[in-house]
Amino acid sequence: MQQTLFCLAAILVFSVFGLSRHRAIAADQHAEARRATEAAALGTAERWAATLRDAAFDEADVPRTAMRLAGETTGLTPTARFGATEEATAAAFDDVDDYHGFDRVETARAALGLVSVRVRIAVRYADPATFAPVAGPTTAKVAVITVTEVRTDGQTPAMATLPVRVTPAGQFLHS
Amino acid sequence: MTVIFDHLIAVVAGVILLGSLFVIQQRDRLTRVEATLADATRVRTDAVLDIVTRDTDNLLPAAQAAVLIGGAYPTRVVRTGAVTSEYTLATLVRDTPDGAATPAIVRYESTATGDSAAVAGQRLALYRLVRRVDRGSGFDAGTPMGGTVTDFHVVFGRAVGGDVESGAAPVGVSHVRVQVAMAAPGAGRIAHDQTSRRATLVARAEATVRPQNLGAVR
Repeated sequence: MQQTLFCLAAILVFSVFGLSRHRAIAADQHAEARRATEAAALGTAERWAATLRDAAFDEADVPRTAMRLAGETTGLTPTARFGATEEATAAAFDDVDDYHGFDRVETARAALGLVSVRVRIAVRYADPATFAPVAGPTTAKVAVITVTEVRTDGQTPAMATLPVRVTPAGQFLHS
Repeated sequence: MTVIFDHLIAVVAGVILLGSLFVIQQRDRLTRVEATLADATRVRTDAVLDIVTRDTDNLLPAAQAAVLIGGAYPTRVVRTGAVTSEYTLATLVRDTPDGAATPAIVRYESTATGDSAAVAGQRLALYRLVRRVDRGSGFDAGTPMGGTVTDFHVVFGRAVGGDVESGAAPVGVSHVRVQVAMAAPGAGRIAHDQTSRRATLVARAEATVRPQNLGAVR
């Protein structure tokens, strides 16, 4: 009888051990899958960063043929008018601050198949020397691209945040 | 009778314990092997992406290519089915890390191997990616980049006019997006009853390159 009890106890211990190993393996695989999704989110953020860098520095600079110089803030869009105030649709966005408040759900390629991600962009003026946020018009902007995995299971979504520094010179690099 | 019965139960319990231990060990070993394969695949995928992005970073615009290489501007992508089957670009290459950079035409070719990999319940077609270089005397035999490529995707991006997934590099191209996905070596050879459920046996890497040479000329 004692041996039987001892064996049953041993089986119980091994079962707990086996389940704990199973849980550890599942956690590892979940972490790897999350890393892959984060990489997909970062790739999406980089794509949008490239789109932003193609845009003009400001609406006032769209028709410009000469580069706006440092300190030349004449005609720059006030912060309060950032957002889709000049163009009706994202396809028509032609300068960086048009993307302020941009919010879209799209698909990104992950390691296996597609994942839904939400892309949000916030644009603000920055100190040209330090790129710290400032209120008034300056010749530097920072666009923060945040890409978040869309999940419906309540788990913490994977996320990538990419700040993009923009200056008036950018639009003339690839014109 | 009681003694025999107790011993019988002990033997049965012992067999169950040993069986459980064996299953746990097997599963642990498989997990470690798959983790190692996943790491190796990720490293290989990053290495392939690094080579493609380095070539793309040195992409020559049409005017420079005409002077340095001559002939028609070769930069283009060809999409066949779900993948980019050909990516040709005028660029600068060097054979050794400290060697001189020389103008050349580089061509990436992805061709279906006819094999597939079963990963996490999905069957993925495998492609062989080869990098061929033409230094003026025709394309060489090519350097194999991997035979377990599951996705190779190159897109020309520009501010106005939309992306180009197949065709010549458009005027105004400002950036190139490159995506590479590879399955772990051997994934295609795994028998059905040993098919991996680990999704990370496929690694994907992506980069958006803004070639600086494109700035002032094209």
